[in-house]
Amino acid sequence: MDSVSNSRSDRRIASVLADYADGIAPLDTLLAQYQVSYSEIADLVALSDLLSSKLAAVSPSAAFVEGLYADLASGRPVQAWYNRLLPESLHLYPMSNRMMIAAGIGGITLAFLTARSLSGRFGLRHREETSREALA
Amino acid sequence: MTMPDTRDYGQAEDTQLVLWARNDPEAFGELYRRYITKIYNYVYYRTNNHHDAEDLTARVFYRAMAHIDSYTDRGIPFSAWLYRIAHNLVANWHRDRGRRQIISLEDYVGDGLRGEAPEHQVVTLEEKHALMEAIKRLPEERQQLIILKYVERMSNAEIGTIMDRTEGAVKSLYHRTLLALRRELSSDSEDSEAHEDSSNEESETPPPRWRRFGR
Repeated sequence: MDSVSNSRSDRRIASVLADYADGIAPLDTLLAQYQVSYSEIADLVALSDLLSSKLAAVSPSAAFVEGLYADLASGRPVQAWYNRLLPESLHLYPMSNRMMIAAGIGGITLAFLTARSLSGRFGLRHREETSREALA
Repeated sequence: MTMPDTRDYGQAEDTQLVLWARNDPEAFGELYRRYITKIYNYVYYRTNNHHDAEDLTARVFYRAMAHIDSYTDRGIPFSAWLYRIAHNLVANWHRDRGRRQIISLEDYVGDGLRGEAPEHQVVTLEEKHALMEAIKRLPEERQQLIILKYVERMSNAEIGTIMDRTEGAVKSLYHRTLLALRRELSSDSEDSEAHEDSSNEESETPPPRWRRFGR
């Protein structure tokens, strides 16, 4: 029986708090409507007010909003033929500008190092062949 | 295929726009403009930084556009469908990265703080930081509820649609969420007070940190 009454009390308290956060009615009205005393929920009401005052909406940058709009309007990510062949978990999406720049720098660096490595080996092999010829 | 010029995208309901969007990018563009900020807000508060929020928000709309043909309004509004996509992508992001949710204090400086004295800004930022730390320790579902209620300013009914719960279940979850958050903030306060100098016997025991907020 106690658990039932506690459950009903919890439901009333939950209704007061939820309706208060939604601004449905003044707190006094809700307390009277659901027969809840202020002392039962004072801390939680204060916490609700705190959350309401501290959590502010943010705005995405205009550049991001317009850039993404342009991408979507072009239809590129949706119409990519390779995505139609792949399961969704493997779908490829366009990278953001930041990621493309980073990928480009990485690719150039890799190409440079590879070329350097190959040219170094070629140069070494050439020197080895030259040495062998000289010794022959 | 040419699109008729008479479509009033701005006045159309979401359900109509969805039907048009299946072969009209401009219709999807209108849906995008209606929800980009809301989805961005949700993702931002779940990831705590603008860079990841942009990447994930973009993926939400790419996925929505790719699957617009399969969406049907069976009691789930288009907006709720978008939020579910966002929730799943954010959950995957957290799981894949397994990162600690590090909060950038600079990200929480609202316009209202810029005119305040520096010392007050520091206090306000610390309060916000403590609050956000406590929120991030809650289960994902409860974080989602807090963001939808306090950042997106959604009603219990709207939240219920997004989270696939009845309004009564949302109210109950909200109650439990506040209780859990109160515990988190109180434990933070006790931890910090345990390190304070206890030799000052004349000072009153300060109230829990969260009660000091807003002074």
